[in-house]
Amino acid sequence: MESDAKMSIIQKIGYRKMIYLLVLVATIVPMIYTVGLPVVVSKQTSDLYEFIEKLPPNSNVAIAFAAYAGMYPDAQAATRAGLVHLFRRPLNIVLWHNSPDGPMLLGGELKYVKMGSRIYGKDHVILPYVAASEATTSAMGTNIRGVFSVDSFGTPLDQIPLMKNINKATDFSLHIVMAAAGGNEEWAVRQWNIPHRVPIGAFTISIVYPALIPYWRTGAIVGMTNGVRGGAEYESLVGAPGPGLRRTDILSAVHLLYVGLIVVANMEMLKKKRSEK
Amino acid sequence: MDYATMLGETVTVLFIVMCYTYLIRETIAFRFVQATYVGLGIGHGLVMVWGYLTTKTIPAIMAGNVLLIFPFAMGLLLFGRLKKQYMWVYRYPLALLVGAGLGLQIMGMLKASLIDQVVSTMSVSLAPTLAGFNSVIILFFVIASMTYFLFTVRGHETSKVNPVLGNLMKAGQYVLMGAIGAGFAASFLGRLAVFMDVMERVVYFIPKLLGLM
Repeated sequence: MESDAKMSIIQKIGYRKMIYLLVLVATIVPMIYTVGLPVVVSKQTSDLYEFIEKLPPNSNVAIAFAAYAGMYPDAQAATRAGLVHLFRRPLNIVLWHNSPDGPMLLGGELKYVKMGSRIYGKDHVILPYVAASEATTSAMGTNIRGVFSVDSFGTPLDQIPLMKNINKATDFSLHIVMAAAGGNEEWAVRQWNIPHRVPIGAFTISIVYPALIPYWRTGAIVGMTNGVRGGAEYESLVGAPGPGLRRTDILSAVHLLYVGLIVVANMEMLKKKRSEK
Repeated sequence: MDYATMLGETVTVLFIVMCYTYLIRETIAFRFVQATYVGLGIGHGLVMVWGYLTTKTIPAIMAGNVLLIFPFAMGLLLFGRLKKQYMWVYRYPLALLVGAGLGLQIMGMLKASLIDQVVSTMSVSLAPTLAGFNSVIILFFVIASMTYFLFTVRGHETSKVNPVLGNLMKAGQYVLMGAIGAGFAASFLGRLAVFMDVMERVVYFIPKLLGLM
């Protein structure tokens, strides 16, 4: 009992649970009291934005929508802002699903896209789900009709006006991989960029981002966004505030907390080492 | 908010709270959510794949594309893994998948992941700019981490024989640790995004229910 009384509150709760509690506070407080910290746009994000912005009108853009519900919140902001940007420009968009969760998630995002005078089938087409693999990506590059015979609504591709002159990778000016949780971007580089010289763009999650930087440096990937942070950057470029900018304060607060915890833990370790000597 | 959305939001928030009870200890509420999540995930995937089969593969075979029978049968052979005595059956489609995958990968990999990367690393700029500084640093980091891998021999202390090489190896070790740390941090960032999303649902639940948002 006596030793219990001597224990501090932190020791009573336990260090791990204390960290959980602090992360919870650092997440909830900025959610209620928003500061609106400024967002500095990275070179990778601005490169992607500029590339899309400079595409000539009526260019064909292929989108592989590969969002899985489990990690989607990380790519949601960039995906939404990306779709808003792509549909705002006079581009022909061919989108297909590379994940079984895709059709469900895309429906939620398209609500934020202003379609204006856009007509389905004339300037944009949504193709159904196809299991993602390097083989599928390669097949799509050489013969889209070999993979899809109909669109998401069951209309044969030959009856869709936009698809009349589209059947292979070289018909596109840009191939974008959206919200993939790994692999898809590298497949696109290997199967669309290397053999067909189609530029690749990526709205990706933070876990995948570091692995793609070498491809951006070589120019195979023209630009990309990095998770929520990249989403916030893209939202500010597009001028469509959404979940990215809303969550920037939380990201900053939790990062500050973690930096603080790293400093405290290291100081504690040094103190322990010194007392052992 | 209509009743269907309200019900959906309530169940979502309830499940989130039940799931986070794990932070205290493994509770029955957590186990219920875990089982539901796995079941739903598999069920959803199964429905999608079944839909793919019935709307694409089978009609295409029926329409006369008999070649599709081969990949379809190969796919069925994968189920051999479920019973030990038929495990050998499963090896054939697996070998085909791995072989075809590797063949496809190597084609683009040589250029994208090797030649282009070597060219990019060697393109050092000595211009007094951030890009120039980065190009020099990257070259040094690549050489240091390669040295660490190439010259580390068990039971042989390179630093005693060749101090320069030893220091370069040490630098390489730090570079690798930094890269692994950055990878871990990126992974954390992804999980944090998911956490932010679920917490937003919990925090904004009552205002949404009251029609304040």
